[in-house]
Amino acid sequence: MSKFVIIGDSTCDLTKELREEHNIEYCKMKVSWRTKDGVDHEMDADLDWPEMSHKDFFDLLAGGTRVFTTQVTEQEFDRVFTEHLEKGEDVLYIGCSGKLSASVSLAQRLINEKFSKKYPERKIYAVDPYIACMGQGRILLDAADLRDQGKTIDEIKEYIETYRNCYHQVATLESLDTLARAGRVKASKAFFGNLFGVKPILISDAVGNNVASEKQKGRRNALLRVVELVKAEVVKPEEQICWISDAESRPEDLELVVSNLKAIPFKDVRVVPMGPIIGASTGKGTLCVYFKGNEVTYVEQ
Amino acid sequence: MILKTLNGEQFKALVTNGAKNLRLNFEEVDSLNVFPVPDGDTGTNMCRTIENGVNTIASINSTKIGDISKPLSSGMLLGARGNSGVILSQIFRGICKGLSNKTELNVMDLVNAYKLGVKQAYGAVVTPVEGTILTVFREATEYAAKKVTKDSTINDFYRFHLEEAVRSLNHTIDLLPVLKEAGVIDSGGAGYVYIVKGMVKYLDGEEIVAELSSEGSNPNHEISGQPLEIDFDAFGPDDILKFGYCTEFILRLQNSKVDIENFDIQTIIDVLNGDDIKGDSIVALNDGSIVKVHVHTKDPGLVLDHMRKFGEFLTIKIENMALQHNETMGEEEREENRKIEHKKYAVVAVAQGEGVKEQFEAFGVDVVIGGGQTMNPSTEDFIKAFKKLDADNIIVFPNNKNIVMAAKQAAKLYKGAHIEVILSTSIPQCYSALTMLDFSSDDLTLILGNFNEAIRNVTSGEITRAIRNTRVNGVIIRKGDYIGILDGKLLTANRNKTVCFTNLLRKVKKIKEKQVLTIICGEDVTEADKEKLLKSISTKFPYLEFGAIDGGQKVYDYLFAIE
Repeated sequence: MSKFVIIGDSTCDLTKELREEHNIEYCKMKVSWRTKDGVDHEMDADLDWPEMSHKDFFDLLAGGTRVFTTQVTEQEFDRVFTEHLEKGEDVLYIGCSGKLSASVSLAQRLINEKFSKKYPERKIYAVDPYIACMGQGRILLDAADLRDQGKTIDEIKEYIETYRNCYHQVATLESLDTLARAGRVKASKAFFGNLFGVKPILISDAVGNNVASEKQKGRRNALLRVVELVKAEVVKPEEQICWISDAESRPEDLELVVSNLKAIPFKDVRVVPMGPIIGASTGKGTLCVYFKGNEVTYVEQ
Repeated sequence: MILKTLNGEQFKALVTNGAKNLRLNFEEVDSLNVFPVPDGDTGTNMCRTIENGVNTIASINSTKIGDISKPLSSGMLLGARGNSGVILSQIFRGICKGLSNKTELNVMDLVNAYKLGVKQAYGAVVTPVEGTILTVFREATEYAAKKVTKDSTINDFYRFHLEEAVRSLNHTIDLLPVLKEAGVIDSGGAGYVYIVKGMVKYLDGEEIVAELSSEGSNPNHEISGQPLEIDFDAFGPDDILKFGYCTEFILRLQNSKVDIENFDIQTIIDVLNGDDIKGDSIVALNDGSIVKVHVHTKDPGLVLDHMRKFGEFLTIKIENMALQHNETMGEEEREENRKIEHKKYAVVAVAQGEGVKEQFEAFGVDVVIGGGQTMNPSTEDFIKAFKKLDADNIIVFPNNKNIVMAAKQAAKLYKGAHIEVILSTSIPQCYSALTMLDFSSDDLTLILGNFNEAIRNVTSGEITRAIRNTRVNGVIIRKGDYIGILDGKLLTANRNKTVCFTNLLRKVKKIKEKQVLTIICGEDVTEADKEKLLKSISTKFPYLEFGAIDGGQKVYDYLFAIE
């Protein structure tokens, strides 16, 4: 059995510590924006935030700046994939949900057109996890565990394709402003309108769309509703860690969610900083909870 | 003149004189407002209600009292607006029931008819409150009934009725604590007394000169009305009948065909709804042997055939709905033709202020009915709004407790859709409920539950200006003060409107647990006012998420919803 590498990308929200512990690589996307005085900025969507702090980035969004994002480029795939392929390793790329980014489909095209031809003896897979943020991160972690247990790359690919709909997201946003600017979430205008205090609840549907499934009045109600939905959908919480991707929510808001989630008998509840790509569309105060539960079957029409 | 009996002609003149007397005095009735706010409208509402009835009988000349009473009753029923207007229409509905099938009556017949009026009016109100028009009418009727004998005249009856009505009216102040503190008598009762005074004046030989308003539409007008100018090109030789025919008629039920006394209008509605006719936008009303029907159908011939099983036609109007009629057609009919995308759920809401109307429409309200505290829409206004829609379910937000009854009356009369009236009593409540508008569950119970919950969670506030010195709930108010009203209770007064607003907010129960404040600014609020207010709120209530919209409403500087 060949050695293989597990690769994520900028939307997977895995911290340096988690990536090193589980031996996971990632391909970087990019973000760019224009400041109010007309200066253009571009930086890697780096999960370790070397150029700008997590807080500064989300304050920038809260201040009304529209941040643009770029999917993983061909050059980046070349850089990351080739390094491992050259070493004789197979590649398992688990990218951002294909409904939110074209990275997986670009990777698949490059595999078909280029990598497979250049490395015909290697197994090179691009898999769509139908979810992003720490949902994608969680699938990457589970894949790494399976690898460490001795599963083959094909077995892991099959596992993901079979069980990806059991990975849930329940999220809420602090404000609709960033979302409106970016136009990222599938929901009719009438659903939002010009509303004060209305907070959407976002789930990831069975094909990886971010869907506004319902709305709540007031932040506190929305946060408590998120916990309620987790409770309703979770399966075997005692066997899993519940993950939260957070975009600089107020400490008391985060604390409210964490303490309520801890009342569900998860092995642990852990918080990671939300990456800049999804964050650029959802804005400061986005709080997403990830866990395994009943299979998601709903698809937004 | 002394009348031993009353015929149709005299009854018509009696009621008309009553309506005219109210027309002369409605403003005084409007001013009988518990709160010192220039938005009392009881007089206007009652006046419009009775005028709609009087206009209906204006062209009917018959000595038979039954011929007058029935159209009078339906006219008032459709014209009813405001709680007192709805109750007034029910009072006359009961009285007219007692007059149907009669040519002339004696005083004992009249007593019985008035007793039916009491029964009908009390039956129409879910929780009758004493100290209102109900009490005045009931006591006046009971007193007159006790005083007259079979030898009494019609004049005697009305004199006793008036004598007690006045006494009862002055007594309302002792029955309702809110009236006592504000030092006013009940406005609905006062309106009723003006009507009776006008009737007595007629009997005393004084015909009142007053111009009755024809603003409230005449329900017979649309059927018997003007010849229509029609653009025949709108339906060409190759066109396919898409919209069908708007078919309207008045039918006289025949004793030879049905049991008129026990006839249930539902029988006709079922036939119109049936597989044969497949009618929609059905409105069917009956009053005694008169049945008025509006239906859209592709085969009006079938309708006519079926209806003759019940009676004979008095009038018929059938129009191809594809035709664009000119101005004489009337706005609502043309809108009707313009419709209509079929919807499973549609929303009708009452709103005042351009900004509020625009917001409501942006939120997905299908028909916004103009109106509010100072201008209550009538039952017929609601029915017209319903007719503009092609929906399985229509959800209605009356947004004022004085409009709820007219909305409910309309919901009962209209048969073209399932109608649910949400008990929303303020614009802010409705605003909040609409922000949560979401039909995606496709579950009516759940949708209504969500609306009702949204409304329950809202506390609504109003800031307006006092027009007189008074004292309400122990709050001393000087003319010109801004007053703060929370969920209908006047709780604070201040010279400064920003201070009045924040003081009122402090009175909200468990304010620290509230999360969202929506402010709707009235037409008199300047940008500077608004800025000052928002700044003050962010300092004093930092935990609230808030925003303001320009509602453009009159009288109320600010409306707000806190939840």
